[in-house]
Amino acid sequence: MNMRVGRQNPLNRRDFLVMLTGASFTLITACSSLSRRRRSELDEAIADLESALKNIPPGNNADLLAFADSMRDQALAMRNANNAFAADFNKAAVERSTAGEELSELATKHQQARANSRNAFLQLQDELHAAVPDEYWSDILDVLNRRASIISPTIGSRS
Amino acid sequence: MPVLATLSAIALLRNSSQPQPFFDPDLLRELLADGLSDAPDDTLAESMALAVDLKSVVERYRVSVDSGIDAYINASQGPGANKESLSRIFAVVDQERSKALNRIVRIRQRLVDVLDEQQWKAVFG
Repeated sequence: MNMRVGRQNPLNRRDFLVMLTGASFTLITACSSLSRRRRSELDEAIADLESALKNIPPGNNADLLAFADSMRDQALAMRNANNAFAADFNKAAVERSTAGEELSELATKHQQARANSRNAFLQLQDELHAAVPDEYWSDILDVLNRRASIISPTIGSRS
Repeated sequence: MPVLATLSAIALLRNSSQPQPFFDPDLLRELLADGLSDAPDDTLAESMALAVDLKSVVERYRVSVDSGIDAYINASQGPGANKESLSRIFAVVDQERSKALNRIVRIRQRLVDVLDEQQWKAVFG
């Protein structure tokens, strides 16, 4: 499916920035950690994305909205899969009779599925990045860094 | 409707969270302390040492994730960011994740060796 869009940009400026940064942070949090702090970050990123989607008039920028929808759905699917793996792994691990090899196989199987899902997600993000007009880029970095400072002390100290 | 579906999915995830002692060293330590209160001192000490090892593994993985996030954000700061460059960053995190999971499996196996069936049941139910 080719969802690449042209350079015309009738999108609301704020919504566009929120959508892109929300999508980026959805990716980060879905891929990296199950900590409570990061789960909260993912929820906030998704809330931003949902808010932006609601504010954009229907029928306008349908391709970009399709990107955002797909990225959100895929990020949620990745988080679901991650949670399911963590639950399955621990359920098996607390059974004393479970062999170490079984746990390793479980981990390997999940790791492969996780990498495949993430690659599909990065492809969507790649296409979304390609659709970003140049004049928006510095604003996107500002928003990206502001959100980054919430989850990364290192980034926060640089900005 | 998509908003409702998303919120429902998040609520379901939150409600379905279950104890994960082998990903949560503090929880493991609590379970060991409760379940092994009548166990010989050396059994408790060996088990607690494994919980400390688990904490070290989990912390190390968290550090690698934080580094990965920094790298991802840095790499994203330009229109040249693409699937390949970002995949390389996540591949490093994947390696660390794989190592962490292997270490967790080994720690859990050592715990199987330390605890007999009754002790194991007292800890994990």
